[in-house]
Amino acid sequence: MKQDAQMIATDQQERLFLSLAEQLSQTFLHLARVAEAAPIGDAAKQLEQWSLVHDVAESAMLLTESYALNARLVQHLIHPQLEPVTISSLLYDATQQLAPLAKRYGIELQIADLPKMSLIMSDRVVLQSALVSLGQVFIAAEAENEVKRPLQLAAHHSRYGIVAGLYAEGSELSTDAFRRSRSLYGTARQPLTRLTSGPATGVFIADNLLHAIAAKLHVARYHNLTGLATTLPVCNQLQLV
Amino acid sequence: MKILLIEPDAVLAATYVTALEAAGHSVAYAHTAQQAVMLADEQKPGLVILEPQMARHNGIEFLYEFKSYPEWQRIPVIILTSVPPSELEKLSVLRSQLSVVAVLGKSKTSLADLGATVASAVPRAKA
Repeated sequence: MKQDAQMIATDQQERLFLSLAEQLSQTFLHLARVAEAAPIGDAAKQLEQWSLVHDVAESAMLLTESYALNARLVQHLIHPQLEPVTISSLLYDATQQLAPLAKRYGIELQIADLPKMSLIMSDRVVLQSALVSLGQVFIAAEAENEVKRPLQLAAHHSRYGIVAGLYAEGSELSTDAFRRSRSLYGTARQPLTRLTSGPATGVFIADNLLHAIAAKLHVARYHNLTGLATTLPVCNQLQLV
Repeated sequence: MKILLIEPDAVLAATYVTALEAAGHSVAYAHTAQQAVMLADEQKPGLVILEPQMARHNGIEFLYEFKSYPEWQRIPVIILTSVPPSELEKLSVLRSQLSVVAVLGKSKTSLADLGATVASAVPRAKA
C-alpha cells in the first residue's frame, strides 16, 4: 500500500518535471526569437526588447523557484512552516510579485474588497508561491484573448473556511475539466485547453504545493467570476488572540 | 503581400510581426480563431500563418472551417507550431485539401527561416 502511494507520488513528480521542461522550452523559444528580432528595430524598439527579455526571464525564475520549493517539500528536505497568515496581505504580496508580468501583457490585476477575515495557520511562503504560479498561468491565458479582462485575486468565507484564489470573467473552467487536466499534465501538450494553449505548468505546481501543506486546489466561483482557489480552514485558537 | 498571422502567444507573435514587416509584408495578427475569421474578411490576406495549438479551439478543425469559404480556399497556409511537424505531416489532407504549403516547428524555425518560407510561398499566393 505504502509502495503504491510512493509510486503515484513519483509518477506525479516526474510528470510535473516534464510539464516544467515544456514550459521552460517555451521561455527559451521566447528569448531566442526576441534576441533575433531585437536588431531589426530602432534604439527604442531594442530597449523594449531588452525589457521583454528581462520580464520573460524573471517570470521563468519565479516558476522554477516554485517548482524547486515543491520538490524540496515532497522530498522532505524542508517542512511546512506554520504561522498565522493574514489573507489580505498574502493576496497583496502575490499581486505585487505578479504586477510586472501583468503589465507586460496589458492585463489588469485587481484585489477584491476583502471583508475582515480571520487569521489562518499555514505556510505563508508556500501559499504565496502557489498563488503566484497560478497567476502566471492566468495572465498568459488572458493575454491569448481578443478582449483582455481584469483578473481578480479574492477571498471569501465559506462554511469550510476561507476560499482564496484567482478569478477571471468568462472563464470556461469546470470541475470536470480541471480533474481531467490533473491526469494529463506532463503527458498532453494542452492539459487545460479551456484556460490556455500552453502546458499551464503553474497550475499544477500550485496544485502540488497546496497538496504539500494539506490544502487543495479547486475550481471556485466568486460573484460572476470563475477561477481556481484553495480553501483554508480558520484556526479557532487564533480567534482568541 | 498581406499576411494573416494566427498565433495565441503574444510574445512570439510580436517577433514574427517585426520580422515579416521588416521583409516588406503587411501583417494582420489574430490571437483567436474567431478574430482570425473577422480579420480575413476585412484584410483579404494572400497568405495565412497558423499555430494550430490554440486555447478552446482545435486549429486543424478551424482550418477546415476557414477553407469551407470559397473565397479563402486558394489562400496558401504555413503551419508554424510547437507540435513536432512530423506528427502533423502524417495528416495528408493538410496538403491535399487545406492548401498547407509548409509545416514548420517553432523551435527549429528562426525568423530568417520563416522569412524564406514566406518568400517561397508568395509566388503560389499570387498564382
